[in-house]
Amino acid sequence: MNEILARPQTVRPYDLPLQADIDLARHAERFLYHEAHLLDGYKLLDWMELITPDIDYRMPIRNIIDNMDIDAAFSDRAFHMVEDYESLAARMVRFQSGLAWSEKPPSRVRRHVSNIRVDPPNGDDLQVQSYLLFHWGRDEMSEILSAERRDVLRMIDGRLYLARRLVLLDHVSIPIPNLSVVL
Amino acid sequence: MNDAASSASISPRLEQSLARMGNELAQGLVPLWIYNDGDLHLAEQDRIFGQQWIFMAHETEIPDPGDFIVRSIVDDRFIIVRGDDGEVRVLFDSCRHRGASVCQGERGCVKAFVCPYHGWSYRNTGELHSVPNGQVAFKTLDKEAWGLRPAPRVENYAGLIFASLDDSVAPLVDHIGDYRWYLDLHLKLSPGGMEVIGEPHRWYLDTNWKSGSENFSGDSYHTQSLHKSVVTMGLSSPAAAGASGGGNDLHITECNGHATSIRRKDPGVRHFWGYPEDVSQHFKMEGLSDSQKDLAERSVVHTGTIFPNLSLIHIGLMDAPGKPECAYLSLRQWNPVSPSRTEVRSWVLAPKEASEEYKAQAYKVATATFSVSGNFEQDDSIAWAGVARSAGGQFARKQGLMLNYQMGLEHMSDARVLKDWDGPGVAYDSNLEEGVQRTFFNHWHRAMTRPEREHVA
Ligand code: FES
Ligand SMILES: [Fe+2]
Repeated sequence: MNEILARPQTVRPYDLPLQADIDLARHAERFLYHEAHLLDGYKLLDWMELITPDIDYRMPIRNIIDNMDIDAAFSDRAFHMVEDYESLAARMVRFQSGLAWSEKPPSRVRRHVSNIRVDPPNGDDLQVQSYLLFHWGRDEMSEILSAERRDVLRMIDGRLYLARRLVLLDHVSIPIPNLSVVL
Repeated sequence: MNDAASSASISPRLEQSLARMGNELAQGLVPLWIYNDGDLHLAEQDRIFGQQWIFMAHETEIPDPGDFIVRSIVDDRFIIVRGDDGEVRVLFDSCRHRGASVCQGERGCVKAFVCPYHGWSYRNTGELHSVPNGQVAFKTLDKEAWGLRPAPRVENYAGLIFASLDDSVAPLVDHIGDYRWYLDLHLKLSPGGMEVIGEPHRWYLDTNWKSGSENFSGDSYHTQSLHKSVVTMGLSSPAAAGASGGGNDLHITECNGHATSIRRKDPGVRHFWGYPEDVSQHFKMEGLSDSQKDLAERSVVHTGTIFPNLSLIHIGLMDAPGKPECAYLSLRQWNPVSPSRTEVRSWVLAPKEASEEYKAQAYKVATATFSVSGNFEQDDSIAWAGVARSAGGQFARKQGLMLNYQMGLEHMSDARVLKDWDGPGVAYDSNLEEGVQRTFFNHWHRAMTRPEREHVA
């Protein structure tokens, strides 16, 4: 404790990323903006073309616990969504069916993506973290959800696909009446 | 609550309206305004949530000594904790010195709760353990008298922990009463009973708590409309959530104030809600009668509500078309936050003996169907928000708008009372009737119009 409170004798350097990593980060960023654009515009079946057949999508339940290890607050057994390709596809088809009352009329959604960080690549997989502010509106209601997303983007034949997503919500009890969306 | 607050919470207008409701209910009429009314919300806190048995937790959520979770009954925040002595207590989260909360976080495992304000600490049994400077500053403090205040009554039925804030309430088994006959089908299938998987789903609905309670009492009529998409898409068999009015359907009304809606397979068909053989092989159903066993075996779906606000659904569904049906039990609680806002808590349960793989799949299917993101439940939120909205304004009151709960009354539908039904309650041979929901409101009305109790000052 005392050492950290004292002024350091030397500065600790922040390593500048390599140009190649910056280029990859740009690709990842463009990918996230593109998928947000598709989802906000309810091009849900087009979005399905951006995910891998073995996608693993989870939104763990967050607990309020007395622990500085923030990740420990997220359940490894309980989720607001826990999805594979087929279950995501079923959701998308239902939303577009004209029979899903929660999307009649469509929710007013907008995904603000920021704070994108990309780890140095590991084979074809890119670990990408981003922050998400999500606006949801229906009738007179307008609400904001806030989350971090930890994604794995996979490079296949020169294109990026979403292979894994962990959505870490800042909410314990979801403040909106339905999650008829993907975040 | 003191007398002044108690009488202030029930205005003469409200007392008169409640008095009129007895006649209205007998005709299958329910006034719309009761789904969003500030005075009524306060009165319900006193007469229902302050007096009835309220579900707090499932015992598998706190298996070990020191395990605790925090849950509220309306505005009152309680710690549900298993003490070092193994006993489960429901303790008011308020330090006896100045009232600060003593519990950091909403779940965990602790030996003691330490108040942040002046440092009084309480054992996980609720006893006052230490008081800083106590030797000199609280020399004659009777520690036994200053422990965390427990809920006056805490009882457990088959793993379900209930509390009551009224120490004169009848025992929990009397409250559940004959409804045990139906509840046991869900909780006592296998020797190990049902186990909660993970933490409960929680979310807020823009609706009144009664919408959830009355719907799960047995609104079999809404699935063909509100949930048409899930049947059309193949996320549910037509048998589980299609049109009502099938020949094997049952409505059980007036069962100690509780109700349930049941869909069955034909006689002799072994289905067990859609549990696969490697799960249902564990269903020894010890202690159940032959009629209960027969019903369990033929069951497709049950929904039900234990008054006032604990509901259940036991069903087999899919998270994508073409996948095999996967059965699970969901317990859900509609906790009032305000007249038009409700926090849902929903637990997914599976038989303890089921494999971890099965439990994970059952959890996944439950989440994809009945949760804030559930393909069924997303749509319920829309219907119920509309009820609260239309109930909250002047129009419902000035026009004296009544809602129609008349399906199944004499001359309204073909539903007939089953004279030879083996189970308790009044059984109807059809789910095209609304006696299940009238059961909820009849019980609600009795609770709201009971003679005033003496309140501790
Ligand atoms: S309020 Fe808890 S110790 Fe004073
Ligand atoms: Fe429903």
